Amino acid sequence: MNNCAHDAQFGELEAATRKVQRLELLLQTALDLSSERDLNRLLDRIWERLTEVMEAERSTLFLIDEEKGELWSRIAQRAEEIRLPIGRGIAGTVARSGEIINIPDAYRDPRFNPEFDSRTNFLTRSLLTVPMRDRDDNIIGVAQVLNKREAPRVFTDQDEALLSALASLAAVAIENVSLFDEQRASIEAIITGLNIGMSGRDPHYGPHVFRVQAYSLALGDELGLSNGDRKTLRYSALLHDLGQIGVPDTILLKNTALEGDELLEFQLHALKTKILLDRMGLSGDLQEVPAIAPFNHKRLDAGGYPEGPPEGNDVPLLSRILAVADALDLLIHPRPGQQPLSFPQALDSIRSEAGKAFDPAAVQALLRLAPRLEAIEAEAEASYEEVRVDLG
Amino acid sequence: MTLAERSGPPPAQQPRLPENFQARLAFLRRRAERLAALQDVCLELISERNLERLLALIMEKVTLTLEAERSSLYLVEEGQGRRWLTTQVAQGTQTIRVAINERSIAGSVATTGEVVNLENPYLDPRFDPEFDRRNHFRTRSMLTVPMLNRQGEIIGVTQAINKLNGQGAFTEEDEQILKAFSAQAAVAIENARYLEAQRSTFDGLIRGQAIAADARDHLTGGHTLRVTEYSLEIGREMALPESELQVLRYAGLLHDQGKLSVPDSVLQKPGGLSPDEFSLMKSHAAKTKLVLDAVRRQFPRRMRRIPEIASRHHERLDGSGYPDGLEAKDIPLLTRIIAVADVFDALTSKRHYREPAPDDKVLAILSEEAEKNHLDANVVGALQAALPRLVELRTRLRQEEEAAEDTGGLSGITHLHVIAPDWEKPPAEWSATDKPSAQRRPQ
Repeated sequence: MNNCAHDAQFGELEAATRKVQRLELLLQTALDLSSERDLNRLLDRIWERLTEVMEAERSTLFLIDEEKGELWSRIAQRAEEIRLPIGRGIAGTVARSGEIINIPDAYRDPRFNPEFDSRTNFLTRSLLTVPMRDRDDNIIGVAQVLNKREAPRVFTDQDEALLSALASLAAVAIENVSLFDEQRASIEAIITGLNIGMSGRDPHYGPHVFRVQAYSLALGDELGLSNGDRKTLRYSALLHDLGQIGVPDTILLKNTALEGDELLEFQLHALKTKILLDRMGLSGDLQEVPAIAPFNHKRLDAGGYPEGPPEGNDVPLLSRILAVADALDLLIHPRPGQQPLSFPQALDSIRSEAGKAFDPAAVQALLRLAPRLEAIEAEAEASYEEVRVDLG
Repeated sequence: MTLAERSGPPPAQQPRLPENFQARLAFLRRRAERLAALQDVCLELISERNLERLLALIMEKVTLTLEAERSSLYLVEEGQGRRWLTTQVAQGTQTIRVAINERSIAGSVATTGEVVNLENPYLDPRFDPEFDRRNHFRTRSMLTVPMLNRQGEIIGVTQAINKLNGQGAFTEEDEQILKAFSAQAAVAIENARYLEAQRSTFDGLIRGQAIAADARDHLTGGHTLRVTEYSLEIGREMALPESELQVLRYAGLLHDQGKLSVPDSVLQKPGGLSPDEFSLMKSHAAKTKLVLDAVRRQFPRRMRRIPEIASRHHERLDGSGYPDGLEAKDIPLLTRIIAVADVFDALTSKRHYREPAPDDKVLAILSEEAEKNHLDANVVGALQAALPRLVELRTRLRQEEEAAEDTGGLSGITHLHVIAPDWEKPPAEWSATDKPSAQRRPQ
């Protein structure tokens, strides 16, 4: 066999191997991207993958902002957001026409605008820009890689195909995550609407719920909760008094202390929260909420309300955290007829119930938070102000 | 080590062609072809967000990608502390449950997480020939692979049956392909499940708040759910597309959101309302608008019309409605549907001071309201055409309502009084002339 034929065959083998490797990378990328459920993290991953798989020095993913007719990007390696008009510049042209633009030598190409280089102190040599299409073939963005690291230091035909494949994957993953985001936002909207509506009847409702949310999350962070538990705790705090929907105005809005049967009737709200949440068939991010939110008036030493399980040590940790957060707020902003306490007084009072009404670890966490509580309260009230609506 | 590394070119310092060069090149090319096909399949899998369709797609693609005669998909299900496998789709067969233990092939793959590749399943004691016997089928070869999610948990099992084209058993390469496929299928399934869970959570919240708000008022209890269902039925009669029906559904469920902040003294008052009370009652429509406006930005774009649609159901086409006395052009079709359904429900529900109006009376009143240019005549016409279905719905919803009360449902939720719904004055009995109207209301 002569050298030439030998080299050619060797080249073929190498090319075939590289192709298999690239496809495997692509499959790995598909798995990687499709399992991400948060848009920001997804965009970071896409950016990492583009740079790595394409053997580039830099990469940028532009998304189309239809309302503004612009392309925007959050993930140029420098964290600033870039905005470009659609139709102008290389990325803008690709976004409009859907063509692939592969430029081997940027500074010899009139379409290249060196301004960004000079701003970011970067030297672009080669750049490859492809459209990102969704499954219906609409262009939803543009993927761009800069400076091929490996010889021949320019992007090849195979690179074009590979980047296009990556862009399709990215498009589907972004669409999926957008759907997740939409769903989450819709859920938030309904919960916020509930809180606004309930506050229209009882103006103390919203501020209380927001403060309990803030204290609960601070306690949760102090206790090192997982992301999932943190989410459950947050939704539980937002919904823990939902049953007050079913408390009559004569009791809910009474401006003196509740006594006897009135108190019992008021306490039924926890049971009503339970009934309502159970009936909602919650799953997904709120799956655990019905097992947590109704039980913040349960005591660690058994007792409390609503009646029935869970009792004492079976009360879940998240309910115990909620209990401490709720108690703190009710001591500082009590119902009519009770004397409001200062933070130090409230903490003393809660500390004296550690191991009795309250979980000792949750109480310890609260005591560690003591110096920050006023700031947390102020922040929670400010965030309630942002959603507050005066219903007249 | 990936397959490519295992079968890669010789190291650079040894520039000699391997002896089996041709075979290796052919292998790599074939592998590249299969991986490219798999890549396309993966893209399809992650683009399918409907769980049912996704499962069907997975089955189809396993058969195709593995060049198999048929395939099965088992999913791990859980309930009451137990776990088992079910075949969600087994082409042309019924659903089966399989215990997760080493007595069956799928069960042992789900237990150990290891691939089982059988050249002749009949030689394996775990194989159950019963299926073949019943279906006049002959299982010749079988490849069974665990489906692992990203946390490494086994969420199911994929199985390819009978390698086609007389190729005998499934190869090691088939194993690799099916493993890669199954990993992607697992992610797609979990995504579709999450989306479904979130969607039903949204639904549950929106329904739950409607139920709870309704429950503050015993006699009109269930009003919101009924109005929503009636609206949808009218919408279907009018051949609205599915996307519009969805908007209609949510707008229906939210149309009385503002009643959350109407005081009991008004909401639950038996008998007539004073002018002040009446204006408080009427304020619920404006409140619905204020609340929904505040959260509008969080709704997906296609749902951002909901605040208008939901809050204008007391407006009238001739401009005499409330809260804003809007003209016909500002009253969207979906609102007109809710308005008709709202009146229909009020007329056909029992009140403390009267029985429900008979259906013919209801239709007469609705037509008259349309003639007066209060309600939309087309919508009233659609209601008339759909009346038998509405009556059926009403019966079913009432039964559900009663069942819910019997089982304690929401009966614990409120302290109950009777209320006069917002637009009614109590006549002795319904007639075309003594139906409620703007003039008769306290102003």
